[in-house]
Amino acid sequence: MGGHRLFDATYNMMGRGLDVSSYRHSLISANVANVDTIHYKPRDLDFNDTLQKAMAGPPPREMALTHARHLDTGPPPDPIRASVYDNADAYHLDSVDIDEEMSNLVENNMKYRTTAEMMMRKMTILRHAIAEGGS
Amino acid sequence: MNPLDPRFSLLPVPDRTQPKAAPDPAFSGRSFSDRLNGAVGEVNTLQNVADFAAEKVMLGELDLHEGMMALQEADLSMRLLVQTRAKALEAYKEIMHMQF
Repeated sequence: MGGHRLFDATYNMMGRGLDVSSYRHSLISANVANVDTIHYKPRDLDFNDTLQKAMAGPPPREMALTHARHLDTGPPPDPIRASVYDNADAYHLDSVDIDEEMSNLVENNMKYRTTAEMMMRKMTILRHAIAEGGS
Repeated sequence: MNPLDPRFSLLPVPDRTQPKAAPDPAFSGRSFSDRLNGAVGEVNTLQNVADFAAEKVMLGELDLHEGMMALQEADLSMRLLVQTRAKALEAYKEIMHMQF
């Protein structure tokens, strides 16, 4: 991502936000799928915290280094780190709270769609300016 | 533009809430390039406000409608600027092709 003048920091941040949302969706899906699994510990991540971690630091390397004399343009992208939380209910055998997972799922889904919509509108402005009002 | 949120005061939004003074005959002839410069500056500010608002919406610090309003204002102001530029260029070309 970094290095383009055309696509600004907000665009990068939106891209990272979509990454985080998409990863969180897979975590929540796994929790829902394992709702009846005994001793399963539900996993989740804090969106703002993860996004800020993803935005901090130098921009990730865009090209692979396959030769000793290749220029190093930065570190490889960090994998998204998720914090495991344990909210086992003492009165039930299952540790996944399905209501909470469904609520998180909807919230995350809305965040993803919101971010995608805002990104689309931003790109519409850019496209309009490039086309000199053509489209 | 009304500031959507007190947090926007971090950005240099032009204050247009004060009523405009009656046009002073001595200064009514603000040049076209001054007006155009001012308009471009305002459009630029609206783009920055929209970016700022979009980031805050992502972090959950602003509501969705505020971000959407800021983006819509940025979009419309950009469209108006592009159209104004097109019209000005069209007028310029017409004058160029006039036979004297």
